[in-house]
Amino acid sequence: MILLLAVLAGLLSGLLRARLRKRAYQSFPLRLAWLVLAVIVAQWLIFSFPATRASLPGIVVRWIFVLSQLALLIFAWANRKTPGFWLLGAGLLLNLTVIALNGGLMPITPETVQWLRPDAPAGSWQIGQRLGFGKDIVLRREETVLWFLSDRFRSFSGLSYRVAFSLGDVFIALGAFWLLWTMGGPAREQPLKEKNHVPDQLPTFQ
Amino acid sequence: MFKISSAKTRMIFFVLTVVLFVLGSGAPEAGGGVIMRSAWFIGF
Repeated sequence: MILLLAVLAGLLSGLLRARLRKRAYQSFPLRLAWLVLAVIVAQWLIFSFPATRASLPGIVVRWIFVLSQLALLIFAWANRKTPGFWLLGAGLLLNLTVIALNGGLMPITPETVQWLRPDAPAGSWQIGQRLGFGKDIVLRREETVLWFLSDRFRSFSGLSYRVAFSLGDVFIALGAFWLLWTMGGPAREQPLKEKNHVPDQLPTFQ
Repeated sequence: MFKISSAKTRMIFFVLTVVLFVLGSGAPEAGGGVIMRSAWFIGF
């Protein structure tokens, strides 16, 4: 939710910024964009598609999840010169680190699960097990490697829709906002190629 | 009929890629939901 809010806020403020300055909302060239689509399809198979998410062995799900995050990290690195991508990449790296060090799933404490799902029937989740068909694994704080990078932050308790998120998610949200905001900024000049570059003024020698 | 310029197509593609990247990075369960809803929207 924090991520979608950041995307919406970045998109709306970037569009408004472009409109106020009477400029076009401009995109940046992207490298290896196909990787993102491949990752989303893989994650859909392991987390959402009913026929596969229930039948795939846990170890396969964990490996696919870690490899999908690694593929996204390669995408972020390939586009690191685009504004906001270093923040997106840093957040992804934090998430990938804690996921990889805790067996391939994002750790979440039993207390946070109870807060997330106060009405969940007894026995619907267990410590040490994956939480439903999602990306989380329920682990006690003392059992979690790098607990401070896990899904430990909670959305405002006043909201009816509760979510837990990680420090990596905060970085990703900031990077997404910055990127989408920058798209409403001044027109970007195409970099001159060295071999075609002709200086306006020849250097003078004294 | 309306025409979508190539710059707008690129921009839509870019934003969609960013959204999918963000979901894939932080909320992978939601990325699948986007695919399911898109498939439902176009009639599958």
